[in-house]
Amino acid sequence: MSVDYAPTLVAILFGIGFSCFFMALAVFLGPKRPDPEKLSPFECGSDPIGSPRVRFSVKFYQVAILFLIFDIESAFLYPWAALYRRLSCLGTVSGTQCLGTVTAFGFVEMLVFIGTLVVALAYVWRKRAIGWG
Amino acid sequence: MTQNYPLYLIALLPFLGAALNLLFGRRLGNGIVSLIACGAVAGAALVATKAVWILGHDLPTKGMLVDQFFEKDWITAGDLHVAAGLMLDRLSAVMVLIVTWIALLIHIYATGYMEHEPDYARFFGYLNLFTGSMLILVLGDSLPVTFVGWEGVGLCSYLLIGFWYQEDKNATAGRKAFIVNRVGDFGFLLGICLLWTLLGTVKYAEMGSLLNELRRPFWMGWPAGYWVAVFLFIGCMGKSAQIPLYVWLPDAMAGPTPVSALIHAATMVTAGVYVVARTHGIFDITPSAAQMLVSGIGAITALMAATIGIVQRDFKKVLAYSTVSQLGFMFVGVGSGAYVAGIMHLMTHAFFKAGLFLGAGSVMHAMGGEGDITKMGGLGKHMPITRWTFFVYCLAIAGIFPFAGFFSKDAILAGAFASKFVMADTANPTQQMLINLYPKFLWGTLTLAAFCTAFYMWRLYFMVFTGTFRGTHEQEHHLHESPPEMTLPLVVLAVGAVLSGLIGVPAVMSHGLPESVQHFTGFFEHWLVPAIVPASPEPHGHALEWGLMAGATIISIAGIGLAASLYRGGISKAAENVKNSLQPVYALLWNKYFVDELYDLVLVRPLKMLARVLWRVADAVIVDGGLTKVGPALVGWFGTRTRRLQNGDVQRYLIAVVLGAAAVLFLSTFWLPYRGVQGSITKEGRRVNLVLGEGKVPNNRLVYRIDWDGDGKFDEENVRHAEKGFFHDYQNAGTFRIVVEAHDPDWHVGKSSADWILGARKPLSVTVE
Amino acid sequence: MTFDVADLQNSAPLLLLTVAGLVLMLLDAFSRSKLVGAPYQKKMPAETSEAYPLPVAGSRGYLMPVTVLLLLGILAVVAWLPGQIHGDHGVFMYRDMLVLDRFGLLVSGICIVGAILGVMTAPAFLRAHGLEMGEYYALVMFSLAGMVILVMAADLVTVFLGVEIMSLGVYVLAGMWRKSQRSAEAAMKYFLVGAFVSGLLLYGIALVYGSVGTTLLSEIRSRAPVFASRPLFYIGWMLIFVSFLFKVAAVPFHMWAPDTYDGAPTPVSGFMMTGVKAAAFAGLYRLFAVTLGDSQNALQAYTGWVHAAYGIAILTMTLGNLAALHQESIKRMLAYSSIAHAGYLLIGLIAMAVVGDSARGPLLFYLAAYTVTVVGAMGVVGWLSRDLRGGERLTLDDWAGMGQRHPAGALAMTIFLLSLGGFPPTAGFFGKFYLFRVALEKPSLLPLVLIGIANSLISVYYYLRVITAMYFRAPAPSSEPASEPLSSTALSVGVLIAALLVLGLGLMPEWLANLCAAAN
Repeated sequence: MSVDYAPTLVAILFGIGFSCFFMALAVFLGPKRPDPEKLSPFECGSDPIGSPRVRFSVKFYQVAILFLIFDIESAFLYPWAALYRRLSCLGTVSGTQCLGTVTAFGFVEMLVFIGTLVVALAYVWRKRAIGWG
Repeated sequence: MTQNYPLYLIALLPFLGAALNLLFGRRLGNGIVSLIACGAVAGAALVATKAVWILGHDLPTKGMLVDQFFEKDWITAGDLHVAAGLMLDRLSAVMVLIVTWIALLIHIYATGYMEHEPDYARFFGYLNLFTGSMLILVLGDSLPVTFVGWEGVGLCSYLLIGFWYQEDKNATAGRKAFIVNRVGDFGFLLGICLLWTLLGTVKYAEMGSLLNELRRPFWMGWPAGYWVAVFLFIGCMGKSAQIPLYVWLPDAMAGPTPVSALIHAATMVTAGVYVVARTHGIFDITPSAAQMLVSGIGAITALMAATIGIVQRDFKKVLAYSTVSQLGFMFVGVGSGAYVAGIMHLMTHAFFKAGLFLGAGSVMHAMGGEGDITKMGGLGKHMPITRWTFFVYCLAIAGIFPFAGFFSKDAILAGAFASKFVMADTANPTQQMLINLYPKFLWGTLTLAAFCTAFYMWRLYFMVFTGTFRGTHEQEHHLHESPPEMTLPLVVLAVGAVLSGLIGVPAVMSHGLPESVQHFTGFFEHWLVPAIVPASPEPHGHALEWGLMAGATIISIAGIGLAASLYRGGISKAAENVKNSLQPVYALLWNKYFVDELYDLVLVRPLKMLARVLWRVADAVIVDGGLTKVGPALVGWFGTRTRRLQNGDVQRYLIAVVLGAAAVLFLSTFWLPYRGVQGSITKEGRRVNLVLGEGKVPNNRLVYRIDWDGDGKFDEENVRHAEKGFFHDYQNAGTFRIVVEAHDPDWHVGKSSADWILGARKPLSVTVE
Repeated sequence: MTFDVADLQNSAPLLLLTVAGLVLMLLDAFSRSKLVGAPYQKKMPAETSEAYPLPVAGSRGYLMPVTVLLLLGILAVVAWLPGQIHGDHGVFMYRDMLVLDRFGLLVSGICIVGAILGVMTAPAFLRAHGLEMGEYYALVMFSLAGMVILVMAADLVTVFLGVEIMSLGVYVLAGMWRKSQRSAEAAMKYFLVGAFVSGLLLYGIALVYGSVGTTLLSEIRSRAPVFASRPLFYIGWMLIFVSFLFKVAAVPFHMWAPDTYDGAPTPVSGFMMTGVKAAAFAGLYRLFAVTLGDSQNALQAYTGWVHAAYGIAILTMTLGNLAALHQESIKRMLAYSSIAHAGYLLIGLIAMAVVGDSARGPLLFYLAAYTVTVVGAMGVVGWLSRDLRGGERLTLDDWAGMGQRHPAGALAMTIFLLSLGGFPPTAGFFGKFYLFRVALEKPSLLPLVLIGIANSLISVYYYLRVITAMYFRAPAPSSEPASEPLSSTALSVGVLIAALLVLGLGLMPEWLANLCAAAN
């Protein structure tokens, strides 16, 4: 039974071994001749001005996250659109033709989904999360 | 047989009193508070007396008064139902009368004793609450109802021990009492649960017919009844202060003296004795291991506490150890089948011990709160009533004819002497001999304890009331007899201590007296036997019985005489000499056999340390330290980088999760082969059957190797597990060691019966003829 | 594509909770924008050393009564739905993704009652600490919706969905006290470990699906006897098991719990200790006691999880209680005590597998008793420990003499602590009583019960310490201003109801016990 997993084990071991091997290789083979210039940041000859970590305004993340949320949710529209005929059909679908009764199920379903999104949009709008002021 | 009667009134009245006093007491003034408190208890006493009258007159001996106050079921679990109700039969009648009337006397006494107390109403509120709970305890018609009362009295005891909570010592003593009692309570609860599971009922009235169920073996080869009895008895040990749970009672003396008298001498602490008598059917089950346990613990407690009492200097501590000791006597009574004797001692003890405590209170009242008896002496002439009533109580507890203690103690000694314990058939001759000697051991221990009792009580008496005063002048100036509300209960209790024994005179003594007198002197026994409890074992032959009585009396008189020679007229030189020459013994007794220290060392400190260690380990070392060292590169690196927000802990939490998951997987897969090598062996001639897996291992799941003769070579290999098991026909007679190895082919894990890691079982072996 | 309209009715609690959450979100968004209190104050009051600004009823004060009314309505629906179940089996919905049965409804009811009491005790606390945010109510609703999905789940996918929806709301709630570093820490820790464990859960589900080929629990149950011995299947279940043990804070997956329960705003801690735990136990019940552990099923013999649970129950009870012994902060003590209670509940779960269906009632009763008690206790903690300068005053020294300073609160706390310690006549007593009694039906569980009882004994010590401090100790003389209990009608009423429920269940446990026993 567990013999079946032997290839997996081999693959894992190979993965670990491979990376370790090259890291070790770099350590052992690489020439180490440090000088002050090499140890200074960026090796570009000038001292850095301040920390490279700058604090961004939290608004930036906020907008980015909001964009991601609405973007991903709109992506749901594609599979829905592709399945719309089947969702709206009680019975089998042949080609573009519905052989049973046509229902509003698919349409209502998407209305509910969009409705929820609208509520969320209203919320972020009222909370002044959109915009930069 | 049964008749409805509003028994709830008996318990309700004290509860009402408690509610009034606790809610409005501060505004009412002391007069009204005492009126409410005493009135409520008096009302309860009257209703109770009326009920007992009806019980005794109108109903047959097995009859009872009942009162269902939860018509519908109170507790439901599956198909088991308990309707909460009260019941008064002849056993609870004895208890109810003791509780109500003695509580009344002590309430009256307390009105005098506590008159300068600012928290007067709170005190009486608690006292009433206690009385009500105690009545629920004794009137309950099933173990759960009794348990409610049981917890209630425990709570009140805690509240009253810590009544003067401004002093830290008192609050600590209260907490100690509470926690030690909780140990017992959980045993009690477990007993109830087990009984319920086994019988399907916990009503006293319904239990009797089902007791056969308890004879089935349940766990570790003992019958189920034994376990129920042990668990119930653990509860009784806690409440009635028996070894090893007695340590709270001496500390409980931190409470006001009326509390010590009512709760820690006369009523609450006897609840354990009552419960054992109430459920005697469970304790009577043979083999009588449970009875031997109860009586053995009782006897050792009686002797140990009595010896400690000899050297104590605090007035109330002497009485506290005396109470522990006397409770031991009662347990020997109920444990050796002499239920009547045990219950009767409970009654007589209630009189004289309550009296002794109230006398102590009276003395300490006069001494301005001083409790050290080495600073007293010669008080007799200042407080004659207290002195002479105390004299009577001391005679009673020492067991001098015709005082109450004589009859009840004698009955216990005779019962213990004549008791018979039955062991399982498999007992070998040595065991059988020990069992036959057991009653004599009980009797001997108790006789020794009785000697100590007589000695320490009379030492107390002589040191306090005779000789010259050893305290300060100021104290001497203030010495006075207590007010009438305190002396009246003393006198009433003294009368009880003289007379209450006369309703339980042994038949051999009343032999030949007129029948009406015999009816009176045997009243207590006829009241309880045979309707409620079985008859006590009796010594064979009148001569033996007389001899035992004479022996006990001589022992008591010897104790009194020794006390008189050492302490009459003050602490004599001889007493000091004895003390000095027996210094190690004295130190041992003075330090109460170092039991408190032992508990501290063995239980309290390790537990505290364990808690600290576990807390540290769990929260600090593993999280902050240990894992850092396990995976320094990983955890340390991330830790320093993310310390600010996450305190560096989260990675370690994750590691704990992963390690835990691995452990779960490991444990759960290893368990199957572990189960697989556990099983049972049966023999049919030379064929030995081995059923493995205890029904927990499915067929064909495991692969076995079996070595039937212990020669190191496997006789069967690669056999699949079968529910019906394996068998082997031995060619020769002899004893063989069997080694079984189970192997799980899916997980590649195995287990051999030869190496046990967790199992406490012996290696499998079999003897064939 | 077909759709059964009856599903809408049968899943009404779930739908209503979601809609109610959305409505509350909108109400919050369209309320007057001025926020009262100090959420946007730049400096922490403790640093300014000024007295904390006196709380004024905010413009969102009406949200609490609205939420309570909505929840009561949903509770009524939950109470009505059992009448729609015919026969012994549940009604399957949404193509067998969810199931409507009495068990699920009862646990939903427990969660909702806990949430109602929590919501009643919350606003005074939130206002006093300057975090009166309308989102609180919406998030509680969404989290409840997740719990309902979890307890009604009939498919591994819905299980995952429920766990995530429930957790997401709670992550945010735990961190809503933005002025408090410890609240941020609590939320962050809970979120990080929670996310990791979600990964384990999903991985476990994937493995189970990979080996059995279905995610439907009923299907898995019927196929399990064949698959149970396969490592893939088994590892999958163990990962799922571990992730649920994390949610109920069982040792050794408990480490987040003390920090999180201690750091989160007190009403939120109460919600996490009760609702999340109840729903997660319902999940454990559905997944393990029913799907894997049916004692009628020969499968039970394969399920090593019982043995693992046995050890974990012992560890959880013991470690939780011992660690609680040493806590000086009452809130942290309750956090550890909540861990210990997870251990007692595990006894019920084990009993389900070993004893059988008769253990279901005790398990549910314990959950209900525990929920009411803890919500009440956390309400009192929030109530009495408010410090005039910001923070909370939670040490035993701070609570010394509370019996005189605030008799009503102290009395309520005493009742809750006695219930947690298992004293009659409180709900907690019967919880333990039923649980231990049913476990005693099998001698093999006797050691577990004995350890449980020994642990109850240990726990008495630290519960009693609080009571002793409140009644038997004079307040420590200190120059600092004493804590100033909140004054709020809703809070007092909420605590009062909780206390009455605790005592009521202690005096008349049978109606709930019957309900629990019948919740198949």
